[in-house]
Amino acid sequence: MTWRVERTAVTAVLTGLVGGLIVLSLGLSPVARMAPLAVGVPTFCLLCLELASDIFRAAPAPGSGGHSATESLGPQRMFGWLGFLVAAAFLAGLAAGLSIFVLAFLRIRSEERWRVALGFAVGMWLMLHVGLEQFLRINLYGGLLGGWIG
Amino acid sequence: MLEPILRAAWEGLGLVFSWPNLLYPVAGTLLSMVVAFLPGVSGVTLMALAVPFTLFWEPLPVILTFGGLIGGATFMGSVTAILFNVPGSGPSAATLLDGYPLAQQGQAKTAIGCAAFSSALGSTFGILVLVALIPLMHLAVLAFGPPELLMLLLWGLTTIAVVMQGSVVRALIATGIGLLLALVGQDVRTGEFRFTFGTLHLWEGLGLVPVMLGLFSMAEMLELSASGRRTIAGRGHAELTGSVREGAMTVVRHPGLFLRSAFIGTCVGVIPGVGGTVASFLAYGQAVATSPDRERFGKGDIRGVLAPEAAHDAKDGGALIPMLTFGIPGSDGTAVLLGVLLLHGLVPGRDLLTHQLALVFVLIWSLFLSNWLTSILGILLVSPLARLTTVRLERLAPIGLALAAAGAFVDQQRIGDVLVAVLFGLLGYYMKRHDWPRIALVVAFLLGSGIERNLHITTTLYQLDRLDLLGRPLLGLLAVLTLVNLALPSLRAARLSRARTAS
Repeated sequence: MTWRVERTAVTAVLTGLVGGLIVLSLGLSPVARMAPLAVGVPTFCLLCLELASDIFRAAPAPGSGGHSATESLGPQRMFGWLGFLVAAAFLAGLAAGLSIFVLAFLRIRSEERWRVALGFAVGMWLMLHVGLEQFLRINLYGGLLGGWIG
Repeated sequence: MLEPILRAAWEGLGLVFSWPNLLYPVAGTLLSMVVAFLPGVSGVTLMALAVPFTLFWEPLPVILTFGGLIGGATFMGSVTAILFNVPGSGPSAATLLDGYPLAQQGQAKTAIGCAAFSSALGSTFGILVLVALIPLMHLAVLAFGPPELLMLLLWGLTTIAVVMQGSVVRALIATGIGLLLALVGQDVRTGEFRFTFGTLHLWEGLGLVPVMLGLFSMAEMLELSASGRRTIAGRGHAELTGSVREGAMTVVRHPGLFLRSAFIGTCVGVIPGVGGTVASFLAYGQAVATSPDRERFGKGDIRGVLAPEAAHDAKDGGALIPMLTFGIPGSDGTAVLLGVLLLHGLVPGRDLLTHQLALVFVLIWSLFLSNWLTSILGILLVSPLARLTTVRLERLAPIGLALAAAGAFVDQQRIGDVLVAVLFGLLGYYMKRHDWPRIALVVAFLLGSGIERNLHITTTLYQLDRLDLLGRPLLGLLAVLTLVNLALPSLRAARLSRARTAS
């Protein structure tokens, strides 16, 4: 996907999102749908204009300072790490899951030494467990595995 | 008339600056400074968490502590905005527009110095106005009914859309999307569920904290990781330029801008339910509008830090006015404070402002002390704080992502909010990558519920024929200002086109 296609895709997704919300609000009572329609319809019109502009706008000329069409599309691997973060938090709970995420990220992606990675992971666990759970008395999510084991 | 006020002010000053009373605001300030550095744990969250611990205290130490808690968190939210592009609270979002570019240029010390000095002076301005207005408080509050509040909020939103760098159309679209997202959840008037997709998690709507942490903190970590940069500042600590003195001197060099911003902050603070976000952005907007070289804003102009910081902290004094007079909180923080006062038998209104005026001044002085203490400590800590921008991103990214996930959960203690933050992280990443203004979305999201509430009351008043539009000059003035905002981009474009034709 080129940068230009990606730009158009972002606008299209936003247009779809707002359009979907407008359709959903049509099923509400007149009082409840007043604000969604008052905001949604003009926003949808502006989005359609923007989408048309994205589709028909010329690609930036090479060297013009804009993004080039062949620019790297970036952090697909980071999206994978985000997925890992969510999975770890849901499965192992916040304190353990986020510490595991920090350890794995530092060790695998950042290629840090075990000592550094473990140090940061333990620091994260201490901050969450001592700082939030013990000091601020916030009950952190224990995780699905924690629930099964417990 | 003035004598009892001066006597109460003196008595309050004595109560705050006596031993061991002084310990309470100092401890409150330090605690809120530390906690405000954790993403998701705002000053208001800390205040709410502190309520049960102070239930059995006497009123005096409670007021002293909460004065410290209010003052401490505001400045630290701006520090995270400057250093990491992560606003610690809604109002700090305006500071990051120029504060973060300054940090990226290695000028974090200058930005933090300016923020510290202008916020301390701004809060002093707000407190002085509060003290001066104590006898006249009720008149200012009564001038703003629901139609005026609605128009003020719309003016604030259009100002934000217009002052954003880049496309005004995109800013307006982002504003619209932010308003729509604010409508997710149960409609309080009809009880209907809007855009909840049958999910229990969305019944109460999307939380501000996960949305903000996702759009800014997570998106920033994704973007920085993808950019290939080694650090936020893009250089080592030895290469960090700028100084605290230089930042503080900015306030002295721009007294007009400071006074205008502090005045805006105080006035907005007085209006219930509007809050510091509008104050900061209106101050930023006027700084851009009144500058001959407005193209420098958004790229690291120190005036873009000065204006919102002065307004943000001046608002605290103003926000106490409706709370102390009518029991109507002007901000989230004062809403919690109101609850605390009521729990301790202190009912805002005439009685509090006459027979217990000394306690009111205890609150005012502890707020004053807290704001200055935060700024002084902020300046003392500026070097280690600025050094955080030179930490390697390979280490910062996982810590930032994990803290954002934890912060998203902490606010309402719902695990689903971690997923919400991640989804908004992806949205924020693509918005940033394709120059969509995330700030406009967040501010609209923040103000959405207030806009809908006031829109509903205003339309109801109109249907009942109880709305005399001609008898509300303030409403007319605000409507004109909103229309001017909407017309400004076209006027600017026409002027540019004329200038090009002439040349």
